[in-house]
Amino acid sequence: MKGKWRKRVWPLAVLLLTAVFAGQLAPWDPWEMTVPFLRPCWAHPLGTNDVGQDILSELLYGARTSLLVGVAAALVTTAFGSFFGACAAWFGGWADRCATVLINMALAVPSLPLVIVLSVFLKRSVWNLILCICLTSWAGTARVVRARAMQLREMGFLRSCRTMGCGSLYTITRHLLPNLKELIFTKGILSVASAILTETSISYLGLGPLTSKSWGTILNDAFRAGGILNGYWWWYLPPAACISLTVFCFLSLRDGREKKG
Amino acid sequence: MKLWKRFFGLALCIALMVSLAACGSPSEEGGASPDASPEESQTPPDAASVSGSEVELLNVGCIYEFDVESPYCDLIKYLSYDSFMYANLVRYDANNEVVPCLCERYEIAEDGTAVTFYFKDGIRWHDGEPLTMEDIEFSLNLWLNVLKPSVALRYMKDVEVLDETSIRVNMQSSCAYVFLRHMIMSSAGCVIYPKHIWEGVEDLKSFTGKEAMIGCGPYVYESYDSEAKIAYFNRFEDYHEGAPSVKRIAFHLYESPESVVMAYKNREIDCMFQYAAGLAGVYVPALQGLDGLDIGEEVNLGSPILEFNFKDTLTQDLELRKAVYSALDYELLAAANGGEYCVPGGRGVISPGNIGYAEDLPANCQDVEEAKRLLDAAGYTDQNGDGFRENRDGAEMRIMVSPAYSASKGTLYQRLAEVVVRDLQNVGLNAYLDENVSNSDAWKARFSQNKDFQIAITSCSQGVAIIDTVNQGLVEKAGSDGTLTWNGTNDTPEYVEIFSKIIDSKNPEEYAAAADESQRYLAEEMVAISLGVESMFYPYNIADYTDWSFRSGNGAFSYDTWFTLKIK
Repeated sequence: MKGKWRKRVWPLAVLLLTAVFAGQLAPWDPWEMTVPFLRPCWAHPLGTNDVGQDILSELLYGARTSLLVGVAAALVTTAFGSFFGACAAWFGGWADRCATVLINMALAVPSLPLVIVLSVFLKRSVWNLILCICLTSWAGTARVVRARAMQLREMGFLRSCRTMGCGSLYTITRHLLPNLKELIFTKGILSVASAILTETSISYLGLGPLTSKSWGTILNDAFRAGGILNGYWWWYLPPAACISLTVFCFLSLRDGREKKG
Repeated sequence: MKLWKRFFGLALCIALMVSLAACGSPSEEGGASPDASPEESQTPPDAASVSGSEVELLNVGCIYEFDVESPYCDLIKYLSYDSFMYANLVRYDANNEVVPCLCERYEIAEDGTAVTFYFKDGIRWHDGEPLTMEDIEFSLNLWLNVLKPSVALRYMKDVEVLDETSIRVNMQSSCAYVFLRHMIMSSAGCVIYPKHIWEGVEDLKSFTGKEAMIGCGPYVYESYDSEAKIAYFNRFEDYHEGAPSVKRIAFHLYESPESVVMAYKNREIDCMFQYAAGLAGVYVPALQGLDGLDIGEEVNLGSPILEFNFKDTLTQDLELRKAVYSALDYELLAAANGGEYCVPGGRGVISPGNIGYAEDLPANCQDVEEAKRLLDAAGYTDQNGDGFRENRDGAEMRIMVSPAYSASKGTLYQRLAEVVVRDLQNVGLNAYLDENVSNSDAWKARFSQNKDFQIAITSCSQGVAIIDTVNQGLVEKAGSDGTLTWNGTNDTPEYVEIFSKIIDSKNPEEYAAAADESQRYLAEEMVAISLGVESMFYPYNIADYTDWSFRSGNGAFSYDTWFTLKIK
């Protein structure tokens, strides 16, 4: 089983290393402007864009943005959503009812349009984008964790904790949440994939950070400069493939984890 | 089994991406797509049947909404610039000079403070009622008192009916000629209204329907097919300049330029109408292989510009502005703007093709060493060794480059701003991108209200360039009585005086001379910098039709074309 797990992890490890060592791997500075609209050649394996920036280098640096946004947003939403859901289940009563109303309200709002609206009114930076994604995508995790925590709350070991006088915070963090780790991990993985897709969508719409490269921005540039109509596949296909494969890798990691569990 | 599912999923992803790739047409010369040999798959447009030499139906593509049956309709507003359904008193000819349209002739008073319009008898509205001077008076008073567009408020004082065929418009100052240039492209709703229909209407915007679509232009509204998104118009047989040769026009409304390109490929449309915004050069490779289509290249009379803020102490400095001018890579800026269909602009900002364009001024050209020399000589040196120059007093110097917010061109402005920042950094100026402008309100606050930008990457629209030159967006106030306020930041007396000459010109000759003088001033004082002169494309069908007429910067779908176009 461990071997299969490794098989699922290594593509992501490669992606992570690519993101971390983008500066060393990229043949050019992605902001350096040379000759525009070059086709793939030895110097520029994926050609250059409309201002002469090397598309391969943009792609490598884009991995950094996508992973940063994906992982950071997923960490925050998963941590907050899990804690919120667990608290709601543990305290029950009016606290649970209020939490449920809040979760349902958050789920009722379509997240992508809301992220778009928020992006328009905030300064265009990676951290604000992460904030927007966090604000709109914690509710799914909270709901799932709450439902499972409701079941666990009635189990013997948690009743014992309560009888022994353990504090709520201690019980939630030491006993309740650790017993939900498989579920939380699965939701976390899904959140990474979802956050990456949201980030690329926002960047594709031209609302992404101005000072960092992203796969969505590359697609936006290609679309705006007629890359798709004119068949410049080397411009739009690689970022599209990177997005699809990254999301696929994260989803397959989740599947493997579920199977292992 | 799971493994197979995953393989299948991955294969599906790859197949989807390959299909996406196939959607783009090959860019190789000639291409091998079916589009390269349209005669094989081409079926003649079913509606383009002929009757003698007149055109039965012309299919026109555009990217507008047909949101309401009234003068406030998006499509109708822009068609009104060309006197399509609602005729203007005057219109632009092929060279964007003012010529009579609804009126037979006009006279500008010697001091430029009034213009008198004279009309022929027998002009009729689409419902058969005769046009009267009361209609004109009623309409212009609506502009002044109800619609209050900037054009009327800036220029007009009042309207006098002289007799049954003439009317005089008095001006706020001696700006009658520029008023004529401006009124052709006024705001939505600023058309000539039939008084007998609109007199009792309290809320102009909520009055819609067939009655609201009655004008006296050469085309009469027929219907709008909301499913197919096609608006139909028939020629007005009683039009006072004679019936057009194109009997019926169908406007196919699309969402994006890509859809328009696909419509050309599918032979759905014969030409396109898009005010001051033809297809960009990036779409030309996709259109060049189509037989029977002229790509209709026109020079955009406006252009993207770099604008300095004259309220900012740093950018007020002429030496710094000159250094910025020398630092920029104009070839790359042009490539980012329009690929191979954009060339560096000239000193003096005004684009070729505009009235009064000074041809002898040189094209913009990068000279990094000159930029560094100018900065050194002006005292902007790197005093702390961090690679960036400091202010003369040794304080940190940062230059904010703000790309304009625009739903359609915002990404282009960002791109140009990136290049500008890079170029300024290359000469040691600590430039950075303004990331705080992410919506139109923020941009308006930065650019128009607070005026707290330093360098703005924006554009001079073609309309502004035609009406009263790029200076309109750069000067703060002008006009003979000094009351006219404008959109810019520069209130230097010399510049205000030059722009006042444009506004107060009494005829085309004075206007051209003043425009020429303004271009030389812009070149010398570096008030703004042109970031490229781009071509726009208005493709038109030359396989089936002949005798197209053109209006400079607006392509083949022009007022004259409606009267000259014939079946080939």
